[in-house]
Amino acid sequence: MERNMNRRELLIAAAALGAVAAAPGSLRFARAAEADKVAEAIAAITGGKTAQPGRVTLTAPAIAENGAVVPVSVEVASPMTQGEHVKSITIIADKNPQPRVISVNLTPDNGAAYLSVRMRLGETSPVRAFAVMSDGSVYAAEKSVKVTIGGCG
Amino acid sequence: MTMKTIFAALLAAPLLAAPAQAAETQSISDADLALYREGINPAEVLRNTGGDLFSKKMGPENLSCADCHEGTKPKATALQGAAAAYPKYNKTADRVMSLQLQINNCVEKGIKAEPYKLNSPEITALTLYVKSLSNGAPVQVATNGPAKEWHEVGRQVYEQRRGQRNLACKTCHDDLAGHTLRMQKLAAIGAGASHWPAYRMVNGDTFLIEQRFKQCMSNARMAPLKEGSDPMVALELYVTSLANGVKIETPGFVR
Amino acid sequence: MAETGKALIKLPGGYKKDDVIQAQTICIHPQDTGFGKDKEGKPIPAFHVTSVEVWYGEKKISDMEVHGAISKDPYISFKVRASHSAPLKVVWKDTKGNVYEQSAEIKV
Repeated sequence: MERNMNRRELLIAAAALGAVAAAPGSLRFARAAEADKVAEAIAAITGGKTAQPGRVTLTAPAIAENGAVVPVSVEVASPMTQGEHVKSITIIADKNPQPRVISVNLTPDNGAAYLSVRMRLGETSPVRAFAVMSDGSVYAAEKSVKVTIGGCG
Repeated sequence: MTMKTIFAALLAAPLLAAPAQAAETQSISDADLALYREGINPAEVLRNTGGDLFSKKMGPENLSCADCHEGTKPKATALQGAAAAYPKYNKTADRVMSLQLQINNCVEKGIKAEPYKLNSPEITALTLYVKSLSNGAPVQVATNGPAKEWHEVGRQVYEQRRGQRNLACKTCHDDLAGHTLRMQKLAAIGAGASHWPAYRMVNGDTFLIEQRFKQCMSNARMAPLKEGSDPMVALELYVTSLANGVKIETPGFVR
Repeated sequence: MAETGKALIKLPGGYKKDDVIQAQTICIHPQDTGFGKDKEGKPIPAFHVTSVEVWYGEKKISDMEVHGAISKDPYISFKVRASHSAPLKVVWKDTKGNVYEQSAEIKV
C-alpha cells in the first residue's frame, strides 16, 4: 500500500515537471526487484527444482471481500503414509512486501495434507501454494486474487 | 476514483442498468463469501471474556452480574432471550435503553460499581456475551407504546441527509441497495442488526452496532453521533426493528 | 484487558479412532507486520506470531513458520489422524518471545 501511493505520487510529480523519462525507469526497476524477490522465495522452497502442476488444490476467492482477511486453503492429494507423504506446504503472495506467508511441516500423523489460513494481501496478486513431497518432488498451484480498497471504507 | 466521480455515480444511479448483474461480476461472489464463514470468529474469544466479566465480583457488596442473573437466588432472572427485546423502554429511567446502556445501568445501580466507558473493550465483551445468550431467539423490539417516539426519531435519523456529501443512511442502504460501489455491494440493512456485535475484518476488532454506525457515518462524511446519545439509541432501535422476527446470531463476522 | 495470546481450538464431534479430523485454531494477536506506520508516520515495529507447533500427546506432529501476512488474530486450520486419546496441544510463539498454549482433548 505504502509503496503504491509513493509510486503514484512520483508519477504525477514527474509528469507535471515533464520529467516523464525518469518515472518509467524507476517503475521498471521496482518491478524487476519484486520479480527477484518472488523468484528467490520460490527457489528457497523448490531447491531449484521445477514445480509440477497437479495434486495441489488451492482455494481462494477470485475477488477478496477485503485485503486484510483473505481465506486461503490448500489441499494436497497424498496417502500421508511414512513412505509417501507431503513434507511441507508453503504459501506465498507475489506482491506482498514479504512474499512468504506461511510454511507448515507435516508428518503422517496429520492424516491429510491440509492447511487453511486467513491471510493479508496488500494488492491484487498471484497467490501460490507449493507442496514438497517425501520423495523430494515439488508440486504447485496458483490463483490470482483481486484486492481493492473497497467500498466506502 | 475521486470523490467527485463517486458523487456523480451516486447521482446517476437511477440511470444505471441491472444492478444485480453489475454486482455479480464486480464484487465477491456468494460462494467465495462462504469461505469467510468457515473457521473461527475471533470475536468468540471476546465473548468468552465477556462471560468472565459476567462472573466478576465488583462493587462494595462484591456482586457479579451472575449473582442476580444466573444464580439460584429466588429472584434470579436468567438472561437467555432477554437481549432480543433491546433496545427497550426502561420504565424507571423513562427512556429507551440500548443493551450496553442497560448493562451499565445495572453495573451502576445494581452492583454500585463504576460503569464501563461506552467504547471500552469491556462493555463490548459484556454486551456481546449477554446478546449471545439470545442466540437463536428472534429479534423482538417494541416499536409502539413508549418506544414509538424513539422509533420515529430513529427513522428520521436514518432518512436525514446530512454532512459533506449530503447522504443519508437510506441513500446507500435503501435507494442504492444492490449497486456496487468500488467493488463492494451496497446492501439493504434488512436483518443486519441480528448479527451484531460483530468482528469487522478491515479493523480486526469487534464492535457494537452503534460503533459501526459511527464508522459508517465517518465514511459517509457525516458528523458521527455520540455513542449512547439519544439520537444514536433511537437509530439503533429503528435499525434493530428492521430485523424483527429474524434469529439472533452473534458474534457476526463482517467486512 | 489484554486479549493477546488468548486462544481457542475447535475439534469436530462424532469422530472414531483413525478418522482424519480437522482442527481449527485461533490466537488473538495484532500481527503487526513491521511495514505499517502509525498516525504520525512512525513505523510500527513488527509484533506477530512467528511459529506454531502442534503436539499430539508427547509427539510433535507438525510445526509452522508464520509471517506477518497471516491476518490479525491468526486463524490456522490443519488435520490430524485421531489415532489415540491424548491432548492436542498448540503452541504459538511471537517476535517478542512470548509463548501461548492451548489444548483440546482428542478422545477415541
